[in-house]
Amino acid sequence: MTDVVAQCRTTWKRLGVSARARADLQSELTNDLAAAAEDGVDASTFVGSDAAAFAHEWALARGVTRARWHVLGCGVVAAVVSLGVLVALDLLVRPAWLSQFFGRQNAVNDSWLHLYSQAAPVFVVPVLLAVALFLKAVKDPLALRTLVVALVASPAALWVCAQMATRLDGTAGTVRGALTVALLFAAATVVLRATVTAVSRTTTSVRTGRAPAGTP
Amino acid sequence: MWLRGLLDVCLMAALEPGPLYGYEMTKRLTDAGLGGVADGSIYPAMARMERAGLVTTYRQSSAAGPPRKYYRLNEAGTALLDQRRQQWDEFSGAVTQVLKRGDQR
Repeated sequence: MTDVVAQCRTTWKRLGVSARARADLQSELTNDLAAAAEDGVDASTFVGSDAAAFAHEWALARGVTRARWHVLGCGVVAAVVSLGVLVALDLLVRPAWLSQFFGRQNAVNDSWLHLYSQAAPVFVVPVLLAVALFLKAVKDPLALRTLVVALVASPAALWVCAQMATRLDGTAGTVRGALTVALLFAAATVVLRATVTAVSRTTTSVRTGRAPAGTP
Repeated sequence: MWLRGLLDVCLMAALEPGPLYGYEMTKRLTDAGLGGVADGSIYPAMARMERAGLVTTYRQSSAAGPPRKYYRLNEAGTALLDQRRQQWDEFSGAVTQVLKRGDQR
């Protein structure tokens, strides 16, 4: 029984389950394993041969996983894909709007609506698609919610990033500007994902009238 | 395999007479002949039902050790259970008809 409980605790820690939620899960599991043991049922029979998988599924179902690395992972995926898209556009297509978008002199003064309405579909869609695939691959419970929020907020986020990059970038070099925008957009993605998590916790608390499971 | 799609409704039915804790539910279903629950699958199922507002939980002191977590079927769970019972009666009746051998129809 001790081994099974230890495996479960390790899994919950890896999933970012808070100490309070881990204690709650462990308490319930330990009590029930003790009751099962009294009837001659051993722990591995009771929870199945894969204690880690059992712990993972249970924590996901309880909604207490936090997996901070999912947030950072979104940022990394967004940065890599957005940079790739921008560099590919610059190298392969070289649309006129691209140099205008990142050029120091023009991006601020030209119609931002005109510029980002062209950039947003080409830039935002691949990035969000990559982030969505990443979240689905890691079975993130807030994947859909993150994608919806990102779809709504990304055009504005992209415009803000381009404005910041234009002001920060000392040259009109497209690749450097692209790198700056990519990193800023990745940071925006991280902020969006962290906001979705925080709002999800708050709405759970309001709806149930108590702190959501996993809250310290 | 069959139980996977029916676990939630079986757990609700097990809770209908009164609150139970996790192992008690497993034992009740196993004693009824549903041996496939001996892999901890009731815990995620109960967690989903709790989040769906079908059951409520509370802690109660036990004779030995820390307080135990009990699950209780609430009104929403009872209403859903009644609905599922009716659906199951209709479905199982139809399946029984289909599975009857030709000479028994």
